[in-house]
Amino acid sequence: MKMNKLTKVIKYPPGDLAIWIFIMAELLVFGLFFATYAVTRIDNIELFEQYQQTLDTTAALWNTLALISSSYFVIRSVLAVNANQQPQAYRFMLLAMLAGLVFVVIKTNEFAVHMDHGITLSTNTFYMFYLSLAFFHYLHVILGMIVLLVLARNLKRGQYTVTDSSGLESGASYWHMVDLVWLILFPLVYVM
Amino acid sequence: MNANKSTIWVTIIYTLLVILTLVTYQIGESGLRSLDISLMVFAIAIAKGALISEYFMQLHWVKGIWRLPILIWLLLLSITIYIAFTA
Repeated sequence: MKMNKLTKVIKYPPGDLAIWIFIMAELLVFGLFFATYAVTRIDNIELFEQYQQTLDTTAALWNTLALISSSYFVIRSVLAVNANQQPQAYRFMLLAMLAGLVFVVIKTNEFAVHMDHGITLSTNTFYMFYLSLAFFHYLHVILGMIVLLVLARNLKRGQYTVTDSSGLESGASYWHMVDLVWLILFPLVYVM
Repeated sequence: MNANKSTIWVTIIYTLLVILTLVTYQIGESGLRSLDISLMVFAIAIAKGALISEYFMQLHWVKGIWRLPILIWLLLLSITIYIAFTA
């Protein structure tokens, strides 16, 4: 039996190397976005702090908890496959999708509320950054949900095994990256 | 570490992430605003990011250079945000 990834030192990260290059590229783009936000804030501190107060921090909290929970269920799914427990892995993946769906519903509602209030990218500099960052990340969540759906389908078909789980690990790594970006976005845009 | 211990370990990390998230939220809701508090909130976010990278992405067990990119990204982001907020 293949050893669990959490039991041994490995040379390469879990999943295909291509997904890690993709993840690095994505993090570079988000990093530039965050840096631009922070630098622009220097000359607009009062504006940023004023409009930051208009954001729904409680919705952001639930969204953060949803993504963290989803990431947790994904790693539990990976561990279940490594322990040769495919049915359990499938159930964890369904839970991960459910938590991801919670994020999508809450965030969609937030965008709808902003639209109802006539808030757009051109409302002011803060909203331009907030809406751009949040929507760019939202698109990644949507893509991630499609990835999780494919992983769930493959798990149901028993395509991932102890010795062949590279596809599962690649998809899981992408989803964790989506979570990681939100963990930075939440305090930076909503709290700080 | 066997499968059961791995499960317990990631559950501990998950609990820690939830607690740190609630702390961040409470700081935001308290209405306290200062540079020190902002930097503390961001430090918590960076710590959470490192936990995701190390334990959920399983990079803690990767030997060599492949373990580093996300930690370096978090470090560079920390430096950038620190400079921007203290400028």
